[in-house]
Amino acid sequence: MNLPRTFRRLLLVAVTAVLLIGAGCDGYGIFANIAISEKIIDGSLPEGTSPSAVHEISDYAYISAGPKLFVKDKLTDSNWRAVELPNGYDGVQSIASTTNEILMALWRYDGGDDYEVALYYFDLDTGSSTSPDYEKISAIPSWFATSSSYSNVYIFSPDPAGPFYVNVRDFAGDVTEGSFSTSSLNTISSPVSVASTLTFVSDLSGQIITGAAASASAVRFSTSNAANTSGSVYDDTGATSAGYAYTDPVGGINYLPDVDSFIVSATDLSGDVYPVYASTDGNGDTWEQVGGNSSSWFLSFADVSSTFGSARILAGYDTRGGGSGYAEIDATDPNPSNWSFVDRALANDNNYISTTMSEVSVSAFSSLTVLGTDYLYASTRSQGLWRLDVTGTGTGNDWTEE
Amino acid sequence: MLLPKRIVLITATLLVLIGFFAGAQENPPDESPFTPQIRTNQRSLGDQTFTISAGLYVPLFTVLLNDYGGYDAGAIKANLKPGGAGSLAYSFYLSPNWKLGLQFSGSFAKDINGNFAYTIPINVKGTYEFHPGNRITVPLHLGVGIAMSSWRENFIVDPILRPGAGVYFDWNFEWSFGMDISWWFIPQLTADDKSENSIGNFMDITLSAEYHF
Repeated sequence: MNLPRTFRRLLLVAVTAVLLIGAGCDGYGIFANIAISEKIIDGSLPEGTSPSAVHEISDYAYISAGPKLFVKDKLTDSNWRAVELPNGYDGVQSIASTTNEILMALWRYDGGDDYEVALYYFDLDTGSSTSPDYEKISAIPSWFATSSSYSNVYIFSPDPAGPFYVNVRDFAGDVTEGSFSTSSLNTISSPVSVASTLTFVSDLSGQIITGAAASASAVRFSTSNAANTSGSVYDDTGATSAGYAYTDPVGGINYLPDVDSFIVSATDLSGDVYPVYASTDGNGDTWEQVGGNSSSWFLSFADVSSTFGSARILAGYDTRGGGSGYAEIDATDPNPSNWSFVDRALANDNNYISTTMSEVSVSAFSSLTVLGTDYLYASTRSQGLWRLDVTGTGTGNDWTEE
Repeated sequence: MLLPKRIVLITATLLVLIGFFAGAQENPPDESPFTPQIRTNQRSLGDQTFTISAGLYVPLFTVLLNDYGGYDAGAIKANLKPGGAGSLAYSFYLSPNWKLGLQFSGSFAKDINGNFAYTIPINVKGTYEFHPGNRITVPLHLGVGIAMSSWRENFIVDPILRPGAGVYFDWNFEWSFGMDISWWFIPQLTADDKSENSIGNFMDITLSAEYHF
């Protein structure tokens, strides 16, 4: 046994250990955050659900999640129950709602080029919440795939009074390997009927609509090209919004009623940050970059000013940009360039960091009143639907999983 | 930034381990005079051991070093359920009672929401052995090293101090079987947010098999 050599080796181990501690030192306070974490109650939606925004009609709320549709009874705060789709259809490609009706683009695929997208609606005047009387808009032909093309259909309803806006995205080639070719903006008037027509508004010059929002006086769309390298904000005529000078691809546009501002997030780096732009003129005509730097981009925004007691915005991260959960923006300054990202303060943060919502993308925020309680709903990618009691000025409440 | 750091840590650790064990095999045979072995658990300079252990991991409490998350600084429950722990250790004897070695361990435990927390300590381990009988060995040991911890998407490396004790039955000259208890004292002092600094306190209770060669 050569002790001196062995001691040298142990010394090497000890020195390396010290160096490793130095190399890996910064990080997340794991033990402290586990110690303060709170029990999260499991929800009724299936594990791994990626729900849409919540759509309210009559006494019911609907979400689409992957291929499925679910409903909650607002009068009883029931669990979410699966809703039958029309015979032969495999899933919901997009969903939108006005005050009186829900409109969906449904798809079915039977292999090969046998792929169809069709528009269906229901209004709950007849039928039940879990088995509604679907009506196909027969005056609008389905989009069928051919051996050289197919289409996807995305519906938006930024104003609960209507109309519906329809972004038809065309692809060239096989259903499974096609490449994006063109994109158009169309409208369908509300209320919808089987005789409703699709009115062409504009070709979007290769831009796809990534979000829609409406103030009292204007409708605005966020857009991106298929490669996510350029984009803009469009108005409801299919033209780029006057006064919007930026060229980043953008998404998650929303109108914040208490802040009285449109807001949108770039989805590509500009310098070292993902800029956020806001328009506080109420019309979406003049825009400027929000203060503070974000190293990730946002998919969604929500105005929680009335609950928080001062101008406050939630901004849902997209994990593809590196962030997760949501950030909070202090919007108390009239000038968006003076807004800033601040520590989370709306909800109980011990509860928030315990949720799986905090680890994934937050794709949409929705407001819904259930049994007299006002809730903010957060739709996540792969970690279900969460809600927070925002009745009155109640801050510090817990997020619960639906 | 975390991933490259993690890769550096793991690579460096593996290199040290490989070097250590490879070097151990290169050692020339002990040339000390032959000494008759009177007791089953009689050890001498140059004897080596390899130990494998597995058992229970008991999260004890966490000491918050600052007011955090609505809790005052001080000890609060760890919020982890009992889990499992195991280790591999190589040691050599410096004298009939002292041995020094390297220990590679791992533990897992679930938090109150079902998320797993993992801790992987790598430590130098010094042991003093009492031999109250021909076949009974009572080791007191102290480990010093690093602990790599992960929980959900998070990872951090901290120092670890690990005092403990055990009792072994020496089945024959080569094999001993017994039980060890050790305290995992892990100061987590380098969180990005300093208010998250804390000291983790855990215990492992393991059954062990030790091979002497």
